[in-house]
Order: sequence, then C-alpha cells, then structure tokens
Amino acid sequence: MDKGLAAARNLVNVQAMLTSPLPRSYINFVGSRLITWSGTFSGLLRFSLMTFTIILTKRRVAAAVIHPLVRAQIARAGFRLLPIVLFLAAALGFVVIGQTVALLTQVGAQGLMGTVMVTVVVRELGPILSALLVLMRTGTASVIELGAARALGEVEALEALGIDPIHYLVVPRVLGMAIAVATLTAYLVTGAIFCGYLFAFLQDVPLLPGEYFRQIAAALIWQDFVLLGLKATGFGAIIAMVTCFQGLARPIELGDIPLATTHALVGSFVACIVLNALFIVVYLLLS
Amino acid sequence: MSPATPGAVAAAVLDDAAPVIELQGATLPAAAPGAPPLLEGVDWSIAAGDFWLLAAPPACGKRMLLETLAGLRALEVGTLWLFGQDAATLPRAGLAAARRRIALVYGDGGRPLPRLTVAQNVALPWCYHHDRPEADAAGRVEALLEATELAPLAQAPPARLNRGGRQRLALARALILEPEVLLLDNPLASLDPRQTRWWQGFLRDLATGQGSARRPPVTVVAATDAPAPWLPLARRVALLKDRRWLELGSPQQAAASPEPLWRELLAEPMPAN
Repeated sequence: MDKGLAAARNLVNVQAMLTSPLPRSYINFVGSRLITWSGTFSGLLRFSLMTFTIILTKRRVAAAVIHPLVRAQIARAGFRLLPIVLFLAAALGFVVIGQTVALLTQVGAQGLMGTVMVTVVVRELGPILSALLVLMRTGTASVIELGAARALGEVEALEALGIDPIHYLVVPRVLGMAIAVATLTAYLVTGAIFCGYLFAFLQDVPLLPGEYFRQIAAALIWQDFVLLGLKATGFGAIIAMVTCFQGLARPIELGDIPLATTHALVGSFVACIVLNALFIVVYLLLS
Repeated sequence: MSPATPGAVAAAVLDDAAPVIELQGATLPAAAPGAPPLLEGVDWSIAAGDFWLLAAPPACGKRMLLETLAGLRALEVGTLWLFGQDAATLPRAGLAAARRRIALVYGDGGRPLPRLTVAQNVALPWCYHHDRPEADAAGRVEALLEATELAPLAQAPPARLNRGGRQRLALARALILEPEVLLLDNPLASLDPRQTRWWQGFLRDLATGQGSARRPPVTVVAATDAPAPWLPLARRVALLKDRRWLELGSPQQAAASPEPLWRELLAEPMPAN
C-alpha cells in the first residue's frame, strides 16, 4: 500500500510541481488576459466619462431630437418589459413568502416576514432581477444595433453630418435604461410585496394585511428608498454603458458582433454584481 | 439644364475667390502602425465655387483625404485651413461650425440610418443642428426629396432603396444643411448609366447654382477611381500617385497628360451615356 502511494507521489511529483515555476505559456496567458482586461476597463472608464460629460454639457443641445429618443428607449427598455416584470414580481413574492413562511412558522418567527421581504426583495433581488431583464432584452439588442452601425459606417456618416455619435446613439440609451431599470424595480418590488401577502393569505398564515404591511414599513428605513433608486439607476447606466462601449467604441466588423455581444453581457453582469457588492457594504455600514 | 461646362460661370467667380479649404504640407498616416504614410506633403487649395476631380486607384487614401478636408481627422503633420482659419487652433464650437459648412457624402450606398425612414434620414441633420422637430423640416425635406427623385419613397425605410437611391438619399441628407462645400467619395461607383447621368446633371446645377438647385454655387470635390464621367463637370483635376498629391490642371490639360496612372484610370470603362 505504502509502496503504491509512494509510486503515485513520485508519478505526480506534487512537491516538484508546487516548487517549480509555472510554465511560461500559463504566465503569458494570464498576463495577456490581465493586460486585455485592464485595457478594456480603462477604455470603458474613458468612454463612460466622455458620455457623462456629454450628458452634462449637451443637455440642452438638440433636445428636439434627443428627448424623443430617450422616451423611445424608456418605452423599449421599460414599458415593453412591464408584463414580464409583473409576472416575475408574482413569482418572486410566491417563492420568497413560500420559503420563508414554512421556515419562520417552524421557529415561531412570523413577525420577521416583513424584514425578510425587505432584505431579500427590496434590497437585493428586485434591482438585480430588473437589471438582468433589461440586459437580456434591451442590452443585447443595443450591442447588435450599435455594432452593425459601426461596422456599416453609419457612425462615420453621423460624424460627417456634424452629429456627435455619443450624443445621438449612447446618451439616449444611458438615460433610457437608467430610468427604465429604476421604474421596473419599483414595479417589481411593489408587485412582489403584494403577491407575497397573497400567497401568505392562500397558505392560511395567521397574518393580517395591516400587520404584514406594518412589518414591512418597520423594516424599511428612509435610506432604503435612496439606495434602491441609486442602485437601480446605477445598474441601468452600467448596462447601457457596457453594451454601448462593446458595440460602438472600437472598430468592429460584422463578424465580430456575436463576440462583442457576449463580452457585453458578461461585462455588464460582472459590473452589476460588483456594484451590488458595494451597496451591500453600504447597507452593512448603515446597519 | 445648363450647358455641359460649368467653367464659364464658375471661372468668373473663382479668379478672385478665397480658398475655402487649404492643406499645407499635410501627411496622412497609414492605418497600420509602422507602415509608411498614405500621403505625404499634400499642398491643396480649394477655392470657393471650384469643382475638383480627385482621381486615384482604390485604397490610396481618397476617403481619408476627404475626411481630413471635412475637418473630421486632425492632422499630425501639416496644416488644415477651413474658411481661412487654422483648424488646429479653432475652438471646439468654431470647428463644429466650420464643419457644418462642409458636407461629406460617403460612397458604398451612402450609409443611411436603417431605423429611420427616408424622410427622417434627410431631416435628421437639420433637426439636430437647429433643435427643431421633424415637422418644421417638412418643407425642406420635401423639396430635397423631389430634387433627388425620392419623394415617392419618403416614408419607406432606406432598405427599400437600391444602391443608387441610397446614394441620392445620402446626397439629400448632406444638402439639407445647405453646405458651401460638398465632398463626394466615389458616388458613381456601380451606378447604372441613367443614375450616372442624373448625378452629372444634378452636380452641374449644384456647382453653377442653376437649374432645380436654385441656390448659391456649391464648391465640389469628387474623389473617384474612374474619372472619365467627371471630366465634363470638373474644373480642376488632381491625382494621388505614389503617396503624393499631383495637380494635373484643367480637364483639357489632364486629358492631354501623359501620366501613366492617369491614362490607366481614364481607360476604366465609362458608363454608357
């Protein structure tokens, strides 16, 4: 047995593997990835700063053209997603209440139902689910549209007409998606809270509506509203910025659009998770 | 329709005309890093009311040169003068104002915005720069669509237009801002003879301020790799060869030029008239 183990150790030679330097190809791979990521991140940062500067400095420029585009984006990223958001709100309310009722009843802590709803739905799941919906339905389409516009030379044509492509193509998307995610989050959270009580009622939980909403009101602090608004708006702006950056900011061929779309989806998701983590820190500091 | 030579009208204007665009010692870099520049030492003065024909084989830097003339590309070497002012020293607003006086029409189908209708495409630059709704641009748009024979398709998406139609849409979109200078990037490429004749007639009227255009003469610079159809229109001819900009003179002088590249380009099949 011992001989067998020794032979296996010799074969794998774990100690030698741990002490020897990594193969150059691995180091090159990791290094090139790090350089690519840092390049993408710094490019995205510059693109975002440029966009916010244009939002601030050109807020009164070509309002007759830009404002209808912002409204169209709100309709596209917000209003058209309302049915699926309401469905998701119902599902979320049922799932959260369904899980917590059983658990809290076992320990006789039904009084915490409001706290659970606020913590899970208002602070965490509401904004992130709305953001993911907008990312999937509108963000993807944005990358494809902008990538095609870039590949087919429409962006250069806009520049030749004296129209700032960021002002015309990016600003409406950033404002539209930020507003859309914020409003969808409000609908999702409200719907989930109401559907949660409906499910509790159907499960014969001895909880009066007044008591349920009192628990929720007690669990909410005024900062929740501010942070919820900031978080949802931030998610929307991030999704718009990353998708526009991947579609527009770099020269692209038509064949590159699928890859750019994948990068935009993954990048937006990671950025939203990072922002969410920052907000968790804020909540911890507040509590 | 006016006679075939706009020169008679334009010549009187041009003799004392100040340059609207001027390049001095301009070098245009290559797209690939480390490669030799596309063009070097370009000295080019374009006077008001002029009609330049710029001939060059494909991939010689025509488009980049036009973009530079339009103020869309900053020069690393050399100076660009727009309406008598150094573009490099112009403030952002001044450069934007100067650029609005110059229109650049791209080739390869004109690059319209596919999500807007034909009429919306034409209205967009005017609405953007004047901050007015589309309804206020309706009269101008209608006139331009009539002039470019696109009125029946005003509410159609650009995808419904053929290549020639999209090219005329790009022209109408550029003209709605009433530019003083019109830069054209190979607009006759792949057009049928009827479309080519239409462009010749329209540009002749535009350059002379006559015909259906009824506006002040527009300075025109047309870049092409098949110069033959342009010779009756142009007043001056230039050639891009071996990374250099060469002036061949008037169309008559150019026609007699023994320059081999020029003869080669001139021999390109000309659309039948």
